[in-house]
Amino acid sequence: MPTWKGPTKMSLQILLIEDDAHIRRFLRATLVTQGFQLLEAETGREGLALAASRVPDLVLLDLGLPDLDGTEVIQRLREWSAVPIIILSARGQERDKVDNLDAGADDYLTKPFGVGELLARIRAAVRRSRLNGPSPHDKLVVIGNLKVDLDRRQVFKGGEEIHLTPIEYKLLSVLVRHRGKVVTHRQLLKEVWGPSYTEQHPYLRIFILNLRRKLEANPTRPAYLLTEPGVGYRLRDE
Amino acid sequence: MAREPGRGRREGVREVAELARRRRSPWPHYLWAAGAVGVCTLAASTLGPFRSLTNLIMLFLLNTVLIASLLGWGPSLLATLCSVGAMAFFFMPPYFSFAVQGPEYALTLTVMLLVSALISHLTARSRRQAELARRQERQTAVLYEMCQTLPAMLSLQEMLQEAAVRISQTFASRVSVLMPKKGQDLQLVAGEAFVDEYGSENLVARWVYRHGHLAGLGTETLPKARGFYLPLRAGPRVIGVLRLEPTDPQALHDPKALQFLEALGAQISLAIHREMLARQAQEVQVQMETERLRNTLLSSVSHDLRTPLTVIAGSASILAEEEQGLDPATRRELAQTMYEEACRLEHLVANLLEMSRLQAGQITLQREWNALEEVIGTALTQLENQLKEHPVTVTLPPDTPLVQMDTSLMERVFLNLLENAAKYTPPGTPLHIFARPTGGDLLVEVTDAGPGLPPGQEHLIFEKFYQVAPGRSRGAGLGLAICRGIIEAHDGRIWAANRPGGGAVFVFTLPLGEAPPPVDHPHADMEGADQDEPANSAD
Repeated sequence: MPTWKGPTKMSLQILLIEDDAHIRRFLRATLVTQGFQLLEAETGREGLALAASRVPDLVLLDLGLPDLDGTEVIQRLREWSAVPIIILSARGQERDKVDNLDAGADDYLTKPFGVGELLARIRAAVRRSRLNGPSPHDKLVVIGNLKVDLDRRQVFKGGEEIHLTPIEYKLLSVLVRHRGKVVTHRQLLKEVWGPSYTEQHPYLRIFILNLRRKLEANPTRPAYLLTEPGVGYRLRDE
Repeated sequence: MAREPGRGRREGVREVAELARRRRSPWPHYLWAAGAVGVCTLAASTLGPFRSLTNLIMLFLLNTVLIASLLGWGPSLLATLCSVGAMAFFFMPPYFSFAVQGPEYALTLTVMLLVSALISHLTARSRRQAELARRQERQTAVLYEMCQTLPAMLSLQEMLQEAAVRISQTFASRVSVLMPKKGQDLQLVAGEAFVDEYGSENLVARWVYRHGHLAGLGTETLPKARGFYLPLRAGPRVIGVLRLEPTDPQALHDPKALQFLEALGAQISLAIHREMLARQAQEVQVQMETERLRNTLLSSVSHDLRTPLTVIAGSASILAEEEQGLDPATRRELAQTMYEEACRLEHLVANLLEMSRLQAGQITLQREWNALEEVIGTALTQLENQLKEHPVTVTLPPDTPLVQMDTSLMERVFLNLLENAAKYTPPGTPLHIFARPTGGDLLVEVTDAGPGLPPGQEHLIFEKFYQVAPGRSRGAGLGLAICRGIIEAHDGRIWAANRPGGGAVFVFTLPLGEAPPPVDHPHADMEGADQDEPANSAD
């Protein structure tokens, strides 16, 4: 059974907005066993009310609620809160995932998912939300045998420095800043190339390809730069 | 009125109608007859010494016979009268007067008149009979030809069109075939449209359709109609109406013509009936095939759904009921089994959904430029568990171009091909993915070192629900059918073969189409990116 390895979980309160009783039961069993405090809401409105009154540390939001559109819940939450939001969605809802991520959700999980995956996503989201607090910048990020020195703009693979072009570096640094979290194609294009390039997917494909060839031992089985099909990319965390 | 099909063939019909019209108008013939008598008179006046009364009479009689045999009875009668007149006027005293001198001449003229009239009548009759025989011969030929060609026609429509054209040629008429469409009123399905200002023609057609009797022009029922109507039958049932509007309304007064038309109608009916039976047989065949497929699907899918469900339900009930009696290792094993079976179920459901979407034609490709490398990578990541026992190597030339494709569908292709390979090849045997551009295509190969495909079944494996060894493997036989559906939706081709050295190779092509948009020098106008070099030249 995967167990929690992150920081101070005892204090964490998770709000689960999900209309299906069985999935709620499964998640309750999992999360309470892991020591989280769980708040449950069956509808979007109930969820929004709970989020306002109890101020959770993280929100798990199901897509396909009976009353509100997922995007709407996210937008309303984002009006006043920066709480990490993780979407629960079915396969084939890539369009929705992208829309929700662009609307401000932090991450997503595709049903059916395993407990290990769920905990990893919660961990990464919570850590990021803490980092975004008082000290947003890590000087040195180590992922596996990759080392990124954000101060000096240097990248090392197994102790050896890798030469990246400025755009490649920029792409990597955006992913590093969001590490562990999925970043949509749009977000990456916007942050690296600028707002007028958000539809230029071929740029992104080619630069990701080049980055993988430089960073990965086997570019077709990437260990760091993971593809989130139909949604975007994710840099492995830890 | 419905549109007229078969416009091109009507030229011939029009020519025939034109001929008929000319034949029908009698006045030129009478002029010809009168003229011939004039010429004959002139010729007689030049006979000189041979101008005896006998020779003159013979000359005029000959003229009359010729006219009778060429122009028919009416003109020859006119010629007879003119000849008698000319004889009296020019060649019998008193000359240049119709008066006749003496009873001898009167007798001669009377006999000449009678003989001439008799001859013209006989000649004209034999001429008419010859013509009738000729027409019958022509009609028989048409009938025979129709017997030969109609059944060989591909479609009912084609057949009816052909019949309409032939009949209209034979009868110098406008022919229409009317049939009810989808339980609606009679509609033109072949031949020419006809004018029906008052709706009366359609009324007659409907009457004929309902009662299955001849009606209209030339018959005893509703003879005022402009068209002649003949029911077409398939077995006992009336299935349509043949309408014939002759350019010469008299043509149908001949009972032989009616008989002939009925024979034609019977012939057409037979052909239609045959066509209908063939179509029914085909439909039954298709239905049976569909039924068989559905049964295969049901048994295969229900087996595939039930097996994991049984395992999951069983394991879960043990876990729930015997929690205390189980050691941790067994518990973990049960949980692991449940997890794996659930994943399998998920995969099957995904494939079924994909298949039904492909089948329903609901899939619109979400084409985007993507790198094959990335799609393969995603598939390999998802199949990490299944491919544990199979080392996979991927060989892609570094300059493999981006391809426009539906990423999630192409991922499904790789998932299914790799999963298939994992399922049908012994553990430990390697898999290899290889791609290269050839011509305007990107050629992708997935090879394995397993037992290969049963020879002769290389095509069949892409059929829905096909299984190389039914019952022995798990899976609904959908994976490769889905691959084919997806690749064909991308305008590519997919096939499989046995490798000379053993093992199977699955090959597909993707058209490269236009080149991807160039990765130019985008203005990365945020801080610090101002000295970027073209990305592809890096390293």
